[in-house]
Amino acid sequence: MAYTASPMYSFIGDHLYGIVLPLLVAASVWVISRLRPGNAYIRRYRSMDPRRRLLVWVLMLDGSLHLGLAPEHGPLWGAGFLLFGLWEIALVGRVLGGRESWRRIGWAAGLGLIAYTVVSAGGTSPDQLGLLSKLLELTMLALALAPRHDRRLSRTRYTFGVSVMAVIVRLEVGQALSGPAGTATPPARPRPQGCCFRLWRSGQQPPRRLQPRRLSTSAS
Amino acid sequence: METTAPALPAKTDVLTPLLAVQAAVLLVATFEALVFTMAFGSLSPVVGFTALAFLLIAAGLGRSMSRRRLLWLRRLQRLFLATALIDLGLAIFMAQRLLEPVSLLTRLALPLYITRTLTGRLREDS
Repeated sequence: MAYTASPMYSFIGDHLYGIVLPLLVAASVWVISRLRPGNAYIRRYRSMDPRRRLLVWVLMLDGSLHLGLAPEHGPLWGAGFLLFGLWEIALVGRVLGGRESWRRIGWAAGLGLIAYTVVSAGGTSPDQLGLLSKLLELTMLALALAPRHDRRLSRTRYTFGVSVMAVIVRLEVGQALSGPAGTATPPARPRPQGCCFRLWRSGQQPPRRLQPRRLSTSAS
Repeated sequence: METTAPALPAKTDVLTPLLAVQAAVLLVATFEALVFTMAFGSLSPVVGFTALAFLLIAAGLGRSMSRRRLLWLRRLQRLFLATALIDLGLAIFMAQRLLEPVSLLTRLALPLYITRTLTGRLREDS
């Protein structure tokens, strides 16, 4: 555990695959780009502009992160993570094929951020992997929704939109951390299980030596 | 004389989205610092610094940025990097640990990438 009890500053143990899979994917892509520079996808990637290159990395890492989270959650959440991860990987294929839809990428990012906000509002505590995923999705959103025209109103609206989304997610994360039903939040203090607690639960009188002393109220 | 950097086509510019993400992160950091300041009852300079940085970056967003604006943004990024390195050094020497991974990304990797992009834009411009 990190220096604070909050899981927000560390990785939850259940999220191991979510950490390992993106690292493996990134390492594999790097190795393939070194060993087979003539690969069609690698050549296509190298011919793209910086914005699309960054988008490919962000989508790939976020998609593999969600795929890695799928086996460690229940069937419902696992299916959600699996579908979202596959959607993002499919979007990588579309970007590499030059058939990307910026609107669809914006929807994917927005959906990921809103889903996390709803889950946080329900009391699920965030960890570093969750925050990393939201940072990637915020970058995805900013890449997809960048203004087409250099007009002051477009720029202001864009900055305001991205910032407000970040603030909403952060506020919900804060609420999840302060809420009583955090699924991953360890209890602040272990539950007392000593003899006094058992006596108190059973409603019996504690032995005399454990009873609180009566204060004298007489002004002698 | 102030020269204008060549405006890249809207769909290829990577600087605007990254600055928007940085502005969003700074705005969140301002709120957090404000909450801590209110909780502990002392005015923290962090609030002023992050709020000012947010305003500067939000104002600096845009595709057709002047050379002077690009230079100021690069100086600001270097200031971010310096403060992040000081924090990292303090964390290593005093707590024997690194900063959290997301902090390393937003406070070191993001300013480094933006500085590199800004340097590229400035080199193209000159």
